[in-house]
Amino acid sequence: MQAEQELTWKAAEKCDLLLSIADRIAKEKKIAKWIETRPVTNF
Amino acid sequence: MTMTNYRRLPKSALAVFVLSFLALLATTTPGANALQSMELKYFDARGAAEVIRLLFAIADVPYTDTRYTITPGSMEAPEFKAAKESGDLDMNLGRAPLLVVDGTTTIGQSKAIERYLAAKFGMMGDSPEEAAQIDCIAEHCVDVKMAQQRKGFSMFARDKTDDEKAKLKEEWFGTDLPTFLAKIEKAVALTSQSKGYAMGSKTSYADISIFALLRGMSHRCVSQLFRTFCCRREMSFLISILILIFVRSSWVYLLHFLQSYPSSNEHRLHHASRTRTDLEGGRKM
Repeated sequence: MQAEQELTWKAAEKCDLLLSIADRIAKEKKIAKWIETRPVTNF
Repeated sequence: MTMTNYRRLPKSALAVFVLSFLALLATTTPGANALQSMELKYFDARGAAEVIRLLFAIADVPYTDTRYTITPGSMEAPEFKAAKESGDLDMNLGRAPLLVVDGTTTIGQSKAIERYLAAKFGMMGDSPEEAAQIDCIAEHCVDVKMAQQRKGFSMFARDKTDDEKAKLKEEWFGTDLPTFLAKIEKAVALTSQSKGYAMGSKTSYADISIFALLRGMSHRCVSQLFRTFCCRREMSFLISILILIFVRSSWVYLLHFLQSYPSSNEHRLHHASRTRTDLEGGRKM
């Protein structure tokens, strides 16, 4: 699945605007905190 | 003078005015809705509920994240089954996710919940047109996920061989997905006014959907998991306690060993006396 995430990222490499949006949201403190602390699940 | 004027007002009119003012205050004060209790019911998985959880996270609104445990291997969820049988999930046709507002109002369908929360949290733009465009972008993201599912290379697709899945996966990530994303990029460029924002220059539901599509749904890699594991305060505390227990046990064992083992002279004398006794005992026999 991690590999799929990287493949998705690669598929979007020419989409600067989409990547900038995803990057900005990822850097939002509240989102980063949730991603870091959310329960680890398989799906 | 002012007092006199107030006294001239009929009491009922004053009461109506005060009540109207309070009602207006309650509906317009930011965060007034935050007083509502919210409970999200879903499996212990990201799946169809993770965008909802991301919306709660970015809005910093507390909620109860009720998760139905999935039994590994059998993939059964007894708590979900019980909830379904009790009628708790009727609003979503016996499925999850379900959002319960104030313990009474239930909302089913993940996208309906997402739109409801996004509107509630002020993430649906500033006009009905902007709301529709934001919704449109979010739906594009859904289309991508649906198309990926239809491609059929996931671990759940049991009708294909591993080789077939590998080929489909290559097609999806090599051709289909880049094409799809390029089209969405063009669409988003029409509404974005600032780099990093899908609608104008304000965080919207569309931003969260794009994030979830591109990177929000990933598993954390092993190094991230390890870092999380080691960084968590509770885990550090537990490890410290285990180390303390180990050190203390070792020390107690060492002390016990030293106390029970006689010194060399004592041991020699003890050994000699035992030998003598044994010999004497032997002679007597």
